[in-house]
Amino acid sequence: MPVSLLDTTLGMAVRMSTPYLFAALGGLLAQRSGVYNFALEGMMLGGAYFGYFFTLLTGNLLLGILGAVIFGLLSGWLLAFISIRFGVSQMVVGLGMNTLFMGLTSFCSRLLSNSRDGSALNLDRLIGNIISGPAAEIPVIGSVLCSQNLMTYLIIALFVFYAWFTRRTEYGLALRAVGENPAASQTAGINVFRYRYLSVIISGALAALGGAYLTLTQVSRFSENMTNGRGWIAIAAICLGRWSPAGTFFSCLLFGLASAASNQIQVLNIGIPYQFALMVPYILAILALVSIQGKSSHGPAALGKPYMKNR
Amino acid sequence: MPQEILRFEQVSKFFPGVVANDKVDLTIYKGEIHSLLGENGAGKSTLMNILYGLYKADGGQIYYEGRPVSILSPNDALKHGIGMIHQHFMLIPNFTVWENVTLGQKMEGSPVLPVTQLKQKVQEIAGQLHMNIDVNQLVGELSVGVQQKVEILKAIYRGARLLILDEPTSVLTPQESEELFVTLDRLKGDGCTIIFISHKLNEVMSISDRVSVLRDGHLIETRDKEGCTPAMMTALMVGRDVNLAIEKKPCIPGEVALEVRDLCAAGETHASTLKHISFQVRAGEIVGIAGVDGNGQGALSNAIAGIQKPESGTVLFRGEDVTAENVRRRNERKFSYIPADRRGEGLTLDFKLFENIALTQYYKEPCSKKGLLNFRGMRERAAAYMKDFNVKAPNTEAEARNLSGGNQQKLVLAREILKRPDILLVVQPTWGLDIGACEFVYQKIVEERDRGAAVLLISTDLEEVRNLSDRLLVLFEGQIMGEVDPAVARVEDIGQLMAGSQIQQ
Repeated sequence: MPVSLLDTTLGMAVRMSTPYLFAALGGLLAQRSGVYNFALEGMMLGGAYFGYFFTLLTGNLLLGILGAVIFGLLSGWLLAFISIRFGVSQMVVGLGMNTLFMGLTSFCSRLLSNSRDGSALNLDRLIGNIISGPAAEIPVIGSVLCSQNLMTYLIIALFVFYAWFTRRTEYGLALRAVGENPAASQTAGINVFRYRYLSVIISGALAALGGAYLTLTQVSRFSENMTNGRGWIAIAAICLGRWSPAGTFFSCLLFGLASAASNQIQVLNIGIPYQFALMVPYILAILALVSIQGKSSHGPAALGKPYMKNR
Repeated sequence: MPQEILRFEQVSKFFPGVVANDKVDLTIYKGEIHSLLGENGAGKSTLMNILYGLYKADGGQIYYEGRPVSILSPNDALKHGIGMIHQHFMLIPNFTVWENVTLGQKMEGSPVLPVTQLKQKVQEIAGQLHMNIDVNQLVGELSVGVQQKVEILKAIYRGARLLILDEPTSVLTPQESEELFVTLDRLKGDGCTIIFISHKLNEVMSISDRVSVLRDGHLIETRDKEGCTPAMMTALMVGRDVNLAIEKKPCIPGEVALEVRDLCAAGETHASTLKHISFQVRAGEIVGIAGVDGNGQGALSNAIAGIQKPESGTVLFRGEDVTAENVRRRNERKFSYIPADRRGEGLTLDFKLFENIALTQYYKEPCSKKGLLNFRGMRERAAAYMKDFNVKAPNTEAEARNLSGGNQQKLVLAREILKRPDILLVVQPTWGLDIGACEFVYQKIVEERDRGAAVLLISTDLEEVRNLSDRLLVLFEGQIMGEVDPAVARVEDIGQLMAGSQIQQ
């Protein structure tokens, strides 16, 4: 059965939404606990670089992923430490960290390319697709399912887990409470700081995984600023999804579709200047955010407000 | 012989520059309702926050059931069966009742919530306390009175046997307060001990078994309620005799100075949105607007002051339509506004006192000349104003932030009143002030009325509006429920209007 344009576009849309999904779930988790992770972009970039670097170094994709996760945890901790412990403006810390990681990854990647010749910079193996065989025969979704790798299925599972966890468990209830009213949570005996720290740290790991997806499953080498605003799109997706896991999930798919459409417009060469095609996801993000303005917000009530224990 | 449940021994707490509690000794008996009475800043809440583990004492010891205890967190307090209901509710509006009540409670075994059982248990306890509550409702959708019940429910669910209530009636209608007192009596009947923090004498007199008075961080005295009179209590609280009874000359209303016609203005919620309001205020009278907070007070004052554009209707100053005019044009019409939030709206806290005094007049002589600011003029006038209104501050260069609440309010009053307005809009003028400052504010408002200003007083403090106003309107869910004569109206009747029902004849 020939693969149609629709099939390729849909498959591409899911692949392009995967990094959004990782970053958005991380951002959502942090925001639920009341802390903005504005450093998603930089954390993705770091994850992309370190995932690539450790794979290149060890020749082992798993170790590469582990490297990205460790970077993510550390960067999450740094963000948590500065914004939770010291109550520094979450916007400022986030922006600062983006710049930091942009510089750090560019620097490291130049060092690396100076030390090796060009062909030795490519990874020889990427994370492969996992479903094959008869499933491909299912119309439309068959080829979509078969063109995805483990990480995509992992993030879908994580979204389901997140939805269940926040609704149905004692820890999830506490996590949401901390983002709504830290003072009330504290008097209810919840350790506000622990929940916020853990959420932000895990958030870093998720964003880094989103970045690692780019280098380890898609392009096989790192290039400067390769995340190209994906972390910011993820933040827009959280807003558009009204802070619900399902809403965020589908917003990411929507942005993935827009990115895929942007690619296809360029490839098909249908007379639209490619610069306009590149704008599609970003214009969509702005339109989406404008469209929900004024409607009652479902964001956590204490989002963005540092909580200082009064002792 | 009553049995002791709790004893404070020489408990002290210091904040930078302030002694919040100074060697307080206090004993609470099991099963009593014990009131802590005192002015703002007397140290009542601090003392209770220490007991609840929110603050750490700097000295002294707390004994619970005879044993010395160290309570470092609200969790510790709860383990001893101590629960606290704060002035600002510790509830999460986006959560349901059952989620709020069970929040933070450790599950045995698996962390997965047994939702059905939890709901059932919460509903059961609500039933035992005769509370008519649906546990599936979002707390944000409940009235304030019911939210408070949820707070009590929360404490009892967590096993509290000693309940601390911090100014619980400040947000309630008189009827809701009555209901609260019934609930408290029921809890007492079940063997709970209750500590009731208040500065409202009549409440303290009606509900407590014993009363302790705090002043400036010291425990002045503990007495049985029997044999106490309100006058004695006030004297203990303030440290001198006070006269809060307002002496007013008879009202001689003149022409209509302020009129609102068919006004609709958006509020944050449906209840706080104004729906076709009309009333008049004449020169030389004080019209009071009573009502529970969140029933349209904000939209009303904003619309009159020109901060918010109404959706329809008109605002008239001396018969002229000013609805389309901005704040400065209205100020030029001899209109003065004393906002509810003196720290946020009345003052710029980081500005110096003389700058704050000049805020509404900076573009005119003597504050500026030919478009340039005249600092000397500003300072001189500020000094004169501050002297006139007895603002206690080192000089005109101090920052407004560093003044006490009472002096901040005096500063706002000086700026707004000394320009001798024809129309004066006053909102919540004594919120958070001590009795001395209240006296001053009341006196100034009455003076303005006697001078011939039209005064509109919007306040959620029912005593205040009743005592000051010549006519009293009651606001409920953005509508005026009725007008009463404050001199003769019964509190119960006003309370009925505040709760949205008509007065029953």
